Amino acid sequence: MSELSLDALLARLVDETISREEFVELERHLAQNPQAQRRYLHYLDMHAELQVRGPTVAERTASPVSPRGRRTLVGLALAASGLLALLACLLFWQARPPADRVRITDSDGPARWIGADGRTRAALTADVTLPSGTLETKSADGWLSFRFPDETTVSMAGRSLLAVSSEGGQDILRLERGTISVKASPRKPERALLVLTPSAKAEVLGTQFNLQAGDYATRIVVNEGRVRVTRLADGEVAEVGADEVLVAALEQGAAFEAVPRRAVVERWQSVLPRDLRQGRWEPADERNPVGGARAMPHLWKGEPGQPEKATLLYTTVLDPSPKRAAPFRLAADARLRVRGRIAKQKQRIQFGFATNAPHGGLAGKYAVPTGIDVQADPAGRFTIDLDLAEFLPVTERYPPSPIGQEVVYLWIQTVEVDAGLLVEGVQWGPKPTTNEEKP
Amino acid sequence: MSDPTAEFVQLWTQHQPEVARYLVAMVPRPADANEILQDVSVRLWQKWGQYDPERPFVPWAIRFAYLEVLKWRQRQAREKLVFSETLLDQLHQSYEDTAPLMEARRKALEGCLEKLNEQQRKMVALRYGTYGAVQKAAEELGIRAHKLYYALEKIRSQLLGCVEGTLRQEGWSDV
Repeated sequence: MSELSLDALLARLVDETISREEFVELERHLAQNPQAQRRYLHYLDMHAELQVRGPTVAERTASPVSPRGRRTLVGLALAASGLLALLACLLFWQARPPADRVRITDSDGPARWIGADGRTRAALTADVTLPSGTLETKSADGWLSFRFPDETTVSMAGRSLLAVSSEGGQDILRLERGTISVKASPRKPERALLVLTPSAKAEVLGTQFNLQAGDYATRIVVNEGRVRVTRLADGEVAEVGADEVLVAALEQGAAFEAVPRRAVVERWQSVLPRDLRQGRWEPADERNPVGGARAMPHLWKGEPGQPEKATLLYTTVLDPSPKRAAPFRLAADARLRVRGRIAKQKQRIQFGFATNAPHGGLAGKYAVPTGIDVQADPAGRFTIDLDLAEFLPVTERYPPSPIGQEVVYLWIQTVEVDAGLLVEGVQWGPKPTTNEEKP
Repeated sequence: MSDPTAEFVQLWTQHQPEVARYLVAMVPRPADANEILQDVSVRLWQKWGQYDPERPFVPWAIRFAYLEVLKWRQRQAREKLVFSETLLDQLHQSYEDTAPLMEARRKALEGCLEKLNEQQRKMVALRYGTYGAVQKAAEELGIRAHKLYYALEKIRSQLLGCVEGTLRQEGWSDV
């Protein structure tokens, strides 16, 4: 049976003109035919939706209904009052968003939504609403913000994987990996926002906090309010107040108590492999006397409906504020120095970083536009200095200058080219004066 | 929340429309769906003590809704056109598969309605704005009822095609 024939039977079904023979025929075609069953369900759901939208469509109709007709319609509507209760339910549902829906407010970089049934969606632009599912930001410079119906906002940054659901009226975020920043609207205790990671559970009533999760540890920084955190390894509970930080690790014997946030610093030097967030650590050996963080490939490819072709990135990501380290703040004279090796003499490399507002959530992403052509010495080594002024916001939505903001992570990567990038060290510090010797 | 009655009322009020949509899919006549919805409401309250608040409410409610559909089917099988129990089971399974994308489809439908021409919108308005009064709608339009039925069949197929095209453009897979 062609789809049109199926549609004809479905039309007779919803218009209640279907004969017994046609009904049997419809049942025969639906049986054991998942495609026809989906068509049936889509058709019936659209039919229900059209009943809800009937009055709206009537308003859009240019030709008015005659007074005689209007009286007839009113009479028929009254006669059909038995159906109104059901339709009222549907209208009510239309009027209020389901608790398990979120609305995208901002996005930048490749991201996708994965439904519980495996369906995916890649076009996550502002104002798109989504049911429960998993959101994934797929690149180091990825960014996605969304809002719950109660105005609670969540931002994801970097390569993050976050499942969003609502169970029994309670919103639940499951952060498998990555970084999120949450500003939770005040909630009743029984409706507390629940944030789960591989190592911790956080219950949130109304607060602003930032959270990083990996396989073995979760770091939470609370800027406003209070968050109750349970370490999953042993069930121990700790309260984290404003300007406090807590690390919940799976390691045995690890400390588990909120401590005051350390004073910000304006200099930072990487300690590898401790600060490596993405990439592969290669220890020193006979060939490479200095160990380094190898840029590792990852692919983000065009999704259905997106024209972009697949792009291969070779990326190293470092974290300037790991675990209990002091937050690193960007001063006006900050300069980034990167030392490393490449397999070519000259290679275009991209540099960028993401920031938090001081005592706040994710603030912006900044990068050197189009990257820098890096020149290596004959041994493949390079050192490059980049003034803060060379970094620009990647979109106009972010503050024009990152001065005063705290660096969450920074990325160094090549696009489509495996240049053998190995990052040996990174440091942020004030620009040297003219008398200071260059390295 | 400690008051079980209040908790039930809150959850049922919040999610009843979703259960109603499920029933409309399983039992196409709205009057029948509405009748079953009332039975489901009573059944859920009777079983409320067994509800685990750690589990999502809607799948729990739809499980009982499905059982009520089967009961209704047994009562009506000789009198009305009803699907076999086997097919109802298959549709129940398919519903669970398609449910996550339904909201996106409904949103896309709104844009697709805008794309209908004036005559088509008028037909939809008369058909659905008057709760199924096709005969009267045909009189209003000055055409025979069977022509209006045929036109509505074409319009619904056109809308379904438009919704699927919209979802593909938006990047949904397996629309």
